[in-house]
Amino acid sequence: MKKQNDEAFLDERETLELREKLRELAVEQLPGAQEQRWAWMRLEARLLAPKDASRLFFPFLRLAGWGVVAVLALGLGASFWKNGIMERPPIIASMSPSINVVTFHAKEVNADVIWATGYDYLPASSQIR
Amino acid sequence: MNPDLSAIVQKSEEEPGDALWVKKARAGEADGWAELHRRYYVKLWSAANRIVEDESLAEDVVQESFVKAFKEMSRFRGQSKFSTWLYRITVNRSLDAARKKSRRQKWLGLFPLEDEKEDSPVREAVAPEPSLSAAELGDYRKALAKALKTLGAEQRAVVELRLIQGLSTEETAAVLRCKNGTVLSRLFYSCRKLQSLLRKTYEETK
Repeated sequence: MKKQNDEAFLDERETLELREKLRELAVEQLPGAQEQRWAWMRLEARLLAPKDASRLFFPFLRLAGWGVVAVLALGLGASFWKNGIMERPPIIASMSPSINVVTFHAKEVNADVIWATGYDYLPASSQIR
Repeated sequence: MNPDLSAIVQKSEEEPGDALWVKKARAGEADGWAELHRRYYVKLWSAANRIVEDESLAEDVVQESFVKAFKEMSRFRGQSKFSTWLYRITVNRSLDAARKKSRRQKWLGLFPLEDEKEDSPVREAVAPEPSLSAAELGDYRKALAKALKTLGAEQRAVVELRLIQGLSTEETAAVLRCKNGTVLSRLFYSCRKLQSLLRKTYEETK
């Protein structure tokens, strides 16, 4: 259909007739004065109800909730940063019950490894019997 | 008392004294909001109803629009007319509501109730007439209401604001956040479609 970018068609007789009929239809559908009063009463109750203390409480509750989430996320992040997400913990990685072999996968000696084994140097994947 | 045409058709200028009531409303005074509600409720309701095609949904949309305007009154800087700003809030909410309604109807259409299945005798008993009778078709308004339903929500918005309520092309474009050309081309297409459908309706009744 042809596009129209000027207002010329709005002055055509057919368009003016259509407009009058549309306006008559619109007016038939409009709410009356009583409905308008009720609508205002509902709105007024909603807009102008006094704020009570409980309504102030919920934003703080929401803030506290997000605070807990943030602390947990930071803690998890710090744990991953310290230990590495994919790395095994530095102490005991596996135990073989039959031959009582403990395999360490520590990449570096740290205080936990020294405490567990009594050794102050362990190459990677050392085995202690 | 039923409202007359002047309840929705725009005067060439903003109602005198809007600035005073806007100032009172901004200060949180109840009489400011009461007067603004009195001036704009019917116009906004008409626009919302045209877009969503549901009277009770239109009532909800207008209520929510006034609540939003109340909450965001501090953000209204006066760069546009207050009426334009209020219309924009209402039309945006109406278009959102119309989209949600359309999606819901599509989903509901996929899962018809037992008594809506084709072979059910209940369906035959309550099914609406496939078309209006000759007498009803002679009623121009019923035919017009039916024809309006064939337009999209945005087209109905343009018809309501520009043609029915008489906002200028510039104001309509400001409310809908589009260009003047877009308003005119949507309006042109909508008018032609309505006129063609009404012509066809009257040819079928002869």
